[in-house]
Amino acid sequence: MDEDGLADAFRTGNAEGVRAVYERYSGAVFTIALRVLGDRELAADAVQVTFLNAWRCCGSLEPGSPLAPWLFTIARRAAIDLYRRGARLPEPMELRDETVITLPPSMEGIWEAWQIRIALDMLTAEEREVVRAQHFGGLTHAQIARQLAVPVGTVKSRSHRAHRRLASMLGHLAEAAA
Amino acid sequence: MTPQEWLAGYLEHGAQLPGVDVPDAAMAAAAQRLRVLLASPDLWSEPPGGLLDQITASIGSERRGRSGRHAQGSDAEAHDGDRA
Repeated sequence: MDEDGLADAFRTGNAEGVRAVYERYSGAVFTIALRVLGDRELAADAVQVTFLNAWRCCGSLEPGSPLAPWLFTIARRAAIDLYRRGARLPEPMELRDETVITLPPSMEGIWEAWQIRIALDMLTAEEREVVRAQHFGGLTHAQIARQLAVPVGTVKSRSHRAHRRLASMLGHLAEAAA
Repeated sequence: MTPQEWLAGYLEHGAQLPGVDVPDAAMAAAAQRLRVLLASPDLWSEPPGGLLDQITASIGSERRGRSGRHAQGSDAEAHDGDRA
């Protein structure tokens, strides 16, 4: 389903429409909520608030406008609101040292994380598996091949294809910095 | 080599083959940041199961509430019309 179709389906509020948008974007929403809040339970709350708020205000999304940046704004706000509210945190601590004060990650960092997560979710399951093992697992191609019980050449070609796709989806982030 | 090909190689290997020029320092720094993010646990975490059901239930409940209020509003308008 394309972005317009997703937005239209979401507007109806029926279970299929909500499911379609959730399947496409819940990973990215959860990623940025985790980066802001650093807690899985609070991040799950932020995901719930994001989708509910998005549905409530989806009339404000202009037809033809991209869904992803609009949803990112709602998700970031939901996470930062929860962060500021200090939901479920224990009694306020007496601050003795300025170094204990933590701030949410920068806007740029959150936006990059959002875009990378969406790009990762666009990879095929096989490509994603190899990229995950390589970057998150820290494994070599040979180790991944053993783990997946496939030839090293297969891992190399999946990795090469996956990284080319990632570069094509994320190139604008690097080029914008240049 | 295009900047996109350079980026693909950098993301995959963390370095480029000898003799390949880096497009520029800013792009190299951005690529390095992207590569660090690819290793972050947050990028690979999945929301808990059951969350979608909670969300669809909340939206469904609010949607029914809106439809109910809309229907009540229409009924009231119809009654007003009858009285007029």
